[in-house]
Amino acid sequence: MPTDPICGMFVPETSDLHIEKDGQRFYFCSRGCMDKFVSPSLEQSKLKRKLIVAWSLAVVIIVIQYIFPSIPYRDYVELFLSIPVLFYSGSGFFHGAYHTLKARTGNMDLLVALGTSTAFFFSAFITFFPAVFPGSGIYFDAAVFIITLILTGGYIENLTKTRANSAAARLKQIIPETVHLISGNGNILESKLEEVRTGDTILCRPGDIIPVDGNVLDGTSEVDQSLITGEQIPVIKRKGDAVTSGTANLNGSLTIRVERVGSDSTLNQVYQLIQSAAMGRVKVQRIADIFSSVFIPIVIAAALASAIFWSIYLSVTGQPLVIEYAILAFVSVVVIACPCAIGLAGPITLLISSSTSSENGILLKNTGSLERLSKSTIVVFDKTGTLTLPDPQITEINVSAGYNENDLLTIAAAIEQTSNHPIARAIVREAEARGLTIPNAAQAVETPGVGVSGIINGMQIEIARSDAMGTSGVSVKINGTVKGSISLSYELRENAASSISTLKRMGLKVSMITGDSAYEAHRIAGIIGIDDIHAECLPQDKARIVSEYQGAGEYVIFVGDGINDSISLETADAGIAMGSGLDIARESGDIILLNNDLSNIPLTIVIAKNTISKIKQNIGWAVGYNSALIPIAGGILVPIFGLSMFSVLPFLAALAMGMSSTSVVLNSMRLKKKITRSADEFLPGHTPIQVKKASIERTG
Amino acid sequence: MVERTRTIRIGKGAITIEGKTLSQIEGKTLSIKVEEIKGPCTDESCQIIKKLVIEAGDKIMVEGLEPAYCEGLSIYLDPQVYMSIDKGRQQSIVLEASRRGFRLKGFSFVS
Repeated sequence: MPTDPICGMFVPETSDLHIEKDGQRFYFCSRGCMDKFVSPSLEQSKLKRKLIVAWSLAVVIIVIQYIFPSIPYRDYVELFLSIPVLFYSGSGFFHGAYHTLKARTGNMDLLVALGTSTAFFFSAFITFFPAVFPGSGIYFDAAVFIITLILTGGYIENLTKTRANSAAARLKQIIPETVHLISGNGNILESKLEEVRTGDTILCRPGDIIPVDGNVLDGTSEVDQSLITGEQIPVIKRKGDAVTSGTANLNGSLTIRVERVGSDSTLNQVYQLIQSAAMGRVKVQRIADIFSSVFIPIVIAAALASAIFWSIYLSVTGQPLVIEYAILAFVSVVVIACPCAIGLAGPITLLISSSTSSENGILLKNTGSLERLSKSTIVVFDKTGTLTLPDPQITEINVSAGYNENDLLTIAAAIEQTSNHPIARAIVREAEARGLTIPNAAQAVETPGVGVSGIINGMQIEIARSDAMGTSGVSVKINGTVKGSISLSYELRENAASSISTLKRMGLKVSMITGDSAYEAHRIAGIIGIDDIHAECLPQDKARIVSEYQGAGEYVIFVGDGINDSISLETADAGIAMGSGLDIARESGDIILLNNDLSNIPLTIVIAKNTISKIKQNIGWAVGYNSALIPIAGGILVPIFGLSMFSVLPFLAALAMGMSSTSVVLNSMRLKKKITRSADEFLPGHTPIQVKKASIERTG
Repeated sequence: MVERTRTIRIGKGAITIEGKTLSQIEGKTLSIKVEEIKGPCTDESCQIIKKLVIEAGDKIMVEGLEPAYCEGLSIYLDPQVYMSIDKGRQQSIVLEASRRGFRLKGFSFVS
């Protein structure tokens, strides 16, 4: 069943209260929640108005109560002044309590409504019938201050939550509402982004944010991709290159064919994944489940128990104001308890962790995997496309007499352009880079594992592929005679060796699995310092090897290609996929490295360890806070401080409740600094991390 | 006397049923489903509270559940439970609950 994105209540799909936004349908429990969702700024200004009313009247009530207690009709004046605070400023609490009771559950609103209405109606009763409880005071000030302080706490909490989610919010804010659409006759029209469709052509001028995913049809420009990949150095984009939504076009005009827009765009997918980070689960959150599920009834029972205890105790010991103290104990207990802090401890930390990660080009698809990442003992790498670049590079072209390099490359490219093999792509790319005109081949046939053949200008061409002695290559036969060969090899990714060395320094074992020949596997492993090598493996062998490590008690991180290594990525305890730039949401793996920077792997482990430790700290704090303060609110310290402490307890309780959730959010926000400090500890002198640290500080 | 025990492998974890509980369940279908309740916050920021609902019987709805078999036992698990036991490498034990029904000792939700 869908939930209301504002209050979180479950809403039936048959509800009429729903809207479509960014390709998603949202359901609401009430028109109020729908209005809050549609215009949050209006809601924020409403909350401000409520706070102004609450604070203005609360201060007047306090002045009357404690500075001018003898003014005529004091009780009636306070009653009159407190009504707007309770039933206008505090209306949200009563509304929330009504809904939670209707749904037969309990939440924070219920506790606030119970506490404030008890204090208010008791005081109103005393105002109208003072003779019933002679000597009893009025507590409109307590009711009003509870509302005011908790509203203030909520306001601060909203501000801190907004800051915590700032990275995700920035992603949405940067996209322009209008684009320069190029019509069929070449005219440039200003058009709304939501009207742009796949296949349209747009113009992106210098300084514009690229609003869609697409391919460059014309123009050259440097593009800043830092918001999406965390990479600070701009990348040159020219004809044929793919561009991503949310990146900034710096200094040239680009004509772009739209491939994906709106909810399908990379930017939106990254945003959605950051937002859904809070839904992840780690083991320690079980404590929050247990506490939250029994919390409200236990708090109400504890409040009633303390009220009953004090009324019996004070009656037996013959003390005055029995009912008054019992009510104050009840109000203090229900108001001091803050179940929200417990429920918030895990999700808010996961959200901040996800947000911090995304600033570094690390996308946490499954935040639940952070716990397993933090326990990892071995990192298993795929080779091609992970430790090396996905496509090989041409290293040498040998030709027979009568041919030159370009002739051979043209013939090879003409045949290979019919294939999608990495070697074929590398040959075609090289021919295009040299500006060669590639003819079309006739009767092209690809034989898997062997090569491609076809006819060009009446000549029978055969391209035979080989993977011998460490270099991939092809031989080119024309009419049955070998006329030359092209050698290729895979280049290591930047930071491959340093990242392996960092992982080893962090105490992790490192292994490599590849489908390549043993020679090539050992050659690459030798360069980057990996001793544990599995070569000539099929995709299913990779997953089996991962399982074998797990069977031996290891916690395995598998790092591979998001599309090709899906079985191994799913089998491992945590799968880290190199971002292919395709559909992020469909890629396998728990974590995606959007910038393909291998030095982000140690950083991901550092983030995981710190996130788990912060969640434990937050849950410990929230549970400890509630466990310690509820007995205090119930009057456990009365033997030390005397009964007079009951007159300040409701205020202190309201202050504590108002700030408890905020304290959890603020503590979670320290995660960024903790990660930066840990990066120093775990990865000393590791330049890429330090560059990113600077980036965290700038954006944070 | 040696207590009878059945252990059913769930990916990298396992569910064990022992002694008296085993006698009650044997020959029946055991289903482990998940119930979700909204958290205590007034907005959507709280974690959803998840609870297990464990039932044993002859006619139990098992649609959408993952099966796991062992000699004389059929267990059907919610996919979230299956994944949590597998990914979390949890060694859980089915026990009788203090009031009625069953509980799963050593189990936590993970994603």
